[in-house]
Parts: sequence; structure tokens; C-alpha cells
Amino acid sequence: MTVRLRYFAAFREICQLDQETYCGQFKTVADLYELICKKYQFTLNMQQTRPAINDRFCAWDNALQENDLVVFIPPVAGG
Amino acid sequence: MSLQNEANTRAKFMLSQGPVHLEYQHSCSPESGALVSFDGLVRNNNEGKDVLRLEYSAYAELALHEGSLIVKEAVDCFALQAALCSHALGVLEIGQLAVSIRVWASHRGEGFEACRWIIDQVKSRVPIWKKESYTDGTCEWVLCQHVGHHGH
Repeated sequence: MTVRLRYFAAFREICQLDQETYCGQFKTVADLYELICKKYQFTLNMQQTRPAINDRFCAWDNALQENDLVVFIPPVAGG
Repeated sequence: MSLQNEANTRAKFMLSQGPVHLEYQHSCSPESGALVSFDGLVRNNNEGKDVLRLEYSAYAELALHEGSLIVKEAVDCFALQAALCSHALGVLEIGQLAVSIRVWASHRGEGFEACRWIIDQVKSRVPIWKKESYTDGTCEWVLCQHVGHHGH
């Protein structure tokens, strides 16, 4: 499956990318996070990070569809 | 005016490039007995470090969606006449306005409570990040917010 990924804040600095297209073997957003963590050595775990699909927060066990836009959101710090 | 438009006017979340300048001349309902405001400023210290400036960045599409949900939830939960919130993006210097909230309520109690609830929700739910630059030349992403924690 192929999905689009956007990166923000600490994740963007680690992988040095704003966005990419990623092709691999995964079903859920949690599967994808595991692959991306290995690829870029992200150290934040799933309790510290929230996933979003197509500009909306989602659950880690959400299934992904071809061409979905996925964002992994590191701990937020507004205000 | 449609109901949808009316709801959007009564509950609005915005992102501002640079320091916030919140226009809050609201066509106030005669039911409003309280206007409660909260302004968050850039402070010159955090956790023992001397802060030089901040840089805010956001996942704008989701930040606007989640921020709008928060102010709409506040209007419903606290029976407000209106709620506005604006958050700054980009580089901010010490003393500049990072976030502004205005709520119009029938009484001060729900006004204060709603204002506090909105800032707590914004800090824990809206995908906005803060990079602090320190006077010693270093900088780092602040990774700290969870619901129920105070400070910052």
C-alpha cells in the first residue's frame, strides 16, 4: 500500500522532510508508525504520539486506505 | 443568517501569523453579563532556562478543526453567548501575545470556568508546537502538555 506522510516539529527535524510518499506492507496506522520509527529512529512511543488520517485525529488501530494522508503528532505545546 | 453561520460567529478559533491581535468587538447578546479574557504571553524563562524567543508551528488543517471543536464545545457546555480564541504562529519575542481567549457568559462563574477550560484544552489537544531558543544559544522543542497538568 502507498500512503502520504507529513512531518511536523521534532519529527520533521529528525527525518529532514516535510512530506513523503511511503510504500510498504502495513494495515493499521500503528503498523505504519512502527515502520517509520525504525526508518528514522523516532524514539517517541505510541503513548507520547497521536496519529491523524486525512486531517483528523484517529485511533492507532484504524485501518489505512491507499493514498491516505497520515501524520504522527508529537506532544503538543501550544499556549 | 443560517444556524450554521450563527454558530460559526458565536464560536471561532483562529491562527495568527505572528503575535495575536484579537478583534473582540462582538455584537454582544443582551443576555451577556460577563466578558472574561485570557491572554498568554511569551515569558523569559522556562524550567530554569533563560528564554530568548519562541517559535510556534502548527499542523494548520487539524489545528483549525480541533480548535473550532473546542470553542464550540465550550459554548455548548458552559451555555456561553460566544467564545473566541486565536493562537500565534511563527517567531515571538518576550512579552508578545501567544494566545488570546474571550468568552461572553451570562454570569462570571461560567465565564471564568469556560476560559480556563478552553486554554487547558487548547494546550493539550491542538497540534501546535513550541521551540524555545535560550540565551545560551541552544534551542529545543517543548514536549510537555497533558490534560490536567498546569503551568507553562
